[in-house]
Amino acid sequence: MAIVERDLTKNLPLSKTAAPSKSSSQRQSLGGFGVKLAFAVILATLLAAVFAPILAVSDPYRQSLVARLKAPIFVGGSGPHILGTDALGRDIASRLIYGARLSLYVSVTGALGACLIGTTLGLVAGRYGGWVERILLGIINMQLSIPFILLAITLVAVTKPGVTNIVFILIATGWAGYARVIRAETLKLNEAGFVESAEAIGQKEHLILWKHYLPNLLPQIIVLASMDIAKFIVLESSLSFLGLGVEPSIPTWGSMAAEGREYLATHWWLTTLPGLAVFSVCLALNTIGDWLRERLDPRSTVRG
Amino acid sequence: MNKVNGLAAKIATSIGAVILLSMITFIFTRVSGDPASLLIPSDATYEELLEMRALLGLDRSLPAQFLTFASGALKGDFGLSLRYGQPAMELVLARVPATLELAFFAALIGWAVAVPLGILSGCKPNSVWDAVARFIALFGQSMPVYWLGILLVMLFSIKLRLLPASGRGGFGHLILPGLALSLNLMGSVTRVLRASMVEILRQDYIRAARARGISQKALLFKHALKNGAVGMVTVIGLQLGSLVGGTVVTETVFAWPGLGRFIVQSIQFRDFPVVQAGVLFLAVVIALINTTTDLIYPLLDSRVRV
Amino acid sequence: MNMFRKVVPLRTVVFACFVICAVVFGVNLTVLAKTVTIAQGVDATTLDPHMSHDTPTSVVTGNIFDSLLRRSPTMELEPALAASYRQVNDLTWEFIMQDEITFHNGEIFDAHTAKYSLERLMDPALMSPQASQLRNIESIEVPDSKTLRVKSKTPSPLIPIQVGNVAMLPPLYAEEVGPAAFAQAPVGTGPYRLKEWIKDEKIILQANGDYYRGAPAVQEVVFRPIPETASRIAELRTGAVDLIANVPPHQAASIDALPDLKVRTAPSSRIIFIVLTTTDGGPLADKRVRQALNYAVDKEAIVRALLGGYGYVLASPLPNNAFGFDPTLQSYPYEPEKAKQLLKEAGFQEGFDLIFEAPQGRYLMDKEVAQAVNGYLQDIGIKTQFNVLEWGVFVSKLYQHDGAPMMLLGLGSTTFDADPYLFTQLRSGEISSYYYNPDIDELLDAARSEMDPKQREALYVQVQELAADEAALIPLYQQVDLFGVHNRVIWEPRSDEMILVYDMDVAP
Repeated sequence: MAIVERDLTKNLPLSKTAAPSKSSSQRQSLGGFGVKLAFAVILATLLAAVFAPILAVSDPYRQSLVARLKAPIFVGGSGPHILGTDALGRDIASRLIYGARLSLYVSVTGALGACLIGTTLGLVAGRYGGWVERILLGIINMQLSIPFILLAITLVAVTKPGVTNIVFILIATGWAGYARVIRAETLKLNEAGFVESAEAIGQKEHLILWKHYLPNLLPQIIVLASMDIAKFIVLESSLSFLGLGVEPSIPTWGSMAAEGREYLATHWWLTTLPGLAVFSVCLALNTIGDWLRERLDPRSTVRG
Repeated sequence: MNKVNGLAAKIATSIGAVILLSMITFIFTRVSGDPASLLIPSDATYEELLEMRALLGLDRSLPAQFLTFASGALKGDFGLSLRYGQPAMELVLARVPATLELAFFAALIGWAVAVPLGILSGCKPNSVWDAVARFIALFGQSMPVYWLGILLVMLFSIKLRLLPASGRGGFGHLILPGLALSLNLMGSVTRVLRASMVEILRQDYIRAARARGISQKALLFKHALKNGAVGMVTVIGLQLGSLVGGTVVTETVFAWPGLGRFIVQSIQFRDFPVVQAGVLFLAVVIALINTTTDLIYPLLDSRVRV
Repeated sequence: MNMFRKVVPLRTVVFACFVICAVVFGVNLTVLAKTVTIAQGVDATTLDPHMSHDTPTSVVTGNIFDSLLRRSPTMELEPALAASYRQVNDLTWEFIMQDEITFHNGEIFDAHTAKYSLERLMDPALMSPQASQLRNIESIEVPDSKTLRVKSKTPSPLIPIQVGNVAMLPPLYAEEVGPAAFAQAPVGTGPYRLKEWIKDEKIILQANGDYYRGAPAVQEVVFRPIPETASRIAELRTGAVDLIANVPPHQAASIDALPDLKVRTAPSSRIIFIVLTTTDGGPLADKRVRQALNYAVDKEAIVRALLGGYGYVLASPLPNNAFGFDPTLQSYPYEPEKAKQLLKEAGFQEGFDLIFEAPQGRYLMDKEVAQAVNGYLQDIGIKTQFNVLEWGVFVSKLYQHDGAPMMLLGLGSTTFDADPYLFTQLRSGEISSYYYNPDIDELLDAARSEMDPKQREALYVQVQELAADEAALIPLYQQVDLFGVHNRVIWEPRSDEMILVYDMDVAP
């Protein structure tokens, strides 16, 4: 705890020193660099996804059983495959570039959908209480009790595989978590002074929700959504393994990592490279999320 | 009077939820595939397939099947597992101790690291510490659990020969799966706690308090941590729920005899008595956990009224 | 202190210390007692051998129970609990029981026991997944306590295999406790008896010193389920496990490279092939198209690259260790140009749309093999829609004849006979057959009740030649089973996937 205490004092130069200390300006520049880097990562990933056909050196679907499991050049591999090839001899670099498309599309749509539904329901439950809340809590508990795999397999059996199904199932598994967190935060806000005064002056309900609740819920929403993106990229791969996802030859980061699992002891890069791609995007999104929150907060003094 | 009504309503919704949930599970298990097809050998005839269906009672209408299941379940009898021939609920409950052992151990390590990490991040946003904390939190979340798990095994079991690679036994067996799982848990707790801390430390009344020279320690614990605690407890509750349900990947990598892998195997085998028993068990646990978190909120933050 | 020394003689103290040491370091004692630890992918689901429907379960029960006949290491049928057997007439078979064999609980084994065991398996109320193997049995008689007479409904050369395969259970005990309890506390005549079973954790078997073929060399066997391949190999490397099943081919070299370990192989009875739906019209009803698909797939490359060479390319859906296998038949060579030519002749020079489905996680490298096949199909211009399906969904669709036009499927049988392979895949009306050819139907029906082995073999050769020419399906390969074994274990793998610890020894 001692560290925390010291940090706190340093971090919050109070009335005594009005000007920011040297250390805090250093921090800001570090934060600034991190944010720039994060934007660069996201931009690069988006560009890769959009311009995949131009950027990818080789065809990501082209199999070659002769050229399988080639090592990346940084582990001593040679030849045209910079990041090596997978178990079917497909170029990993090209698959990573193409993989960004579906992985990002599915996880971002899934996170947004889950976030929208979860936040709305959590807000409604927390704000209005009563039987609405009771029923919603019951549904949340039910949702949390049904194993993800059961939901997925049922869907495999009754529908045709496709991207819509993936997004649907990610939303279905994700919303309940949001709803619980947002409801808890809403319960706190119900008693906040600014909400009470807004009610006292007779502000319209939708304005109260929009102006007082949402901005204060936003930090948690951003955090949860950016965490979910990483979670959903990984989850997507288990769906394609169950036959619910897209055709297995279409690359996604999650399925690339999962396919490499069998080879982890001998060909570690197969799982590690897509894993690192997920990690860097997730890290960048979280960094941007933190920065965005500060920018959006009118009270904030820190400017990235 | 009001209290009694509230309680009655709560019980009524709980019962309704359980009935609805078992109906959903029932329908899911019935439409997702045919257990008879999984039971018969590959050289069976079509007549034998039909016979197996009849023996399993699958030739009757869905409502009739549900009534049989429900009347049994009311008496605590979920039927015999198709795969094991043993009472379904017994099989589920037999996996609970191992699951809880791993869940609590992982949760303990995970939260013990995540909470200080989150506080550190929140108190010093945009610092090097914050960046490191963010890095650790998201690394555990983004890298697949099996990646972490197998790496840990290669290091601690094969290279250093310090810890057993898999299975359940003494405390030593618990360390690697616990570690792999805890790294995965840290992310959400750290990040949610950080968000709350940053938020509250920026509130006007905290600034005012600081201006009045109130000790930082007191500020931190009285206001900031209390404020962050509600979000943190919610996330911890959610994580605990999914931990008790079992952690399939960790259990698979470390051959841990837990509930997660068992339920997934049962789903894959369409062993519906076990799936139904498992889902209902989970429903009770999750309802308990979520009710408990709801009861904890007002204790943590006096402003919260549930 | 002084008093203590007077009262307790030094010898006693030393002895006590030894006992304490022995207790504390109990591990040492068990090492002396020859223990073997075996890791499979999953735990046994039951220890009732009549209820087993998967290999890992049968591997465990195979050490606790005996049957009337057994397979030698080279898969020859030989006497076990039955000392001999003979065919009385077309429909009747006679088995003579061994003398003085007792179950672990002391119950006597005789022909009545054998009758009970067979009838138990056939009883629909038991819901045994193996019941169908005795579907041809009309009646079972016991003229005297040493003789078992089995009458079949139709003449069948497979009766000894089917009857000889059934595990023998003690009637008194089995009836007293019922099937659910029996599955937890099995009693057999086998070389091992159950000591302890902690679900999903371990099964410990203990040597049966009174075993009728003599006491086993290995005193204790531990079966551990370790689902993840990497973890199974890790445990083998740390020495916690002596033998692991299901080693993937691409890991074989890294195991062999370690000084204490080696990979042991045996040709499996499992074959992998692609089912073609020929009965629903469409392009696959055309023989030329089916031949084109056979020419398009490079089976040699698949076996070499994806299976590390551990596999045999097949020309028909029959493994090389099954009765009736035709070694002269040549597999379709890899000739994509010829494939395109045939497609052109059939009027599909532009290719056509086709759904191709494969199960995932069911067979060794199934998803990879299916993807490779899919790549070859696309090379000749066929526009496939390729899906992997979870096994439960896949098999439900397969048996309901709701399967895709092309499906990757595996098949294995411990009968080592052509019938379960060719009949199920090529005889119209069978649940997993998507093919119809009246000539093949006739040949298969004739072979099923042909008692002369020479004649029967000739019939099966004919079926294989016809099926190959018609390109009834795409045969891919026969698997090889790989085991990772510690050098201290003396053991030969078998083609029936059994791990019989009785045939095993451990070097000191």
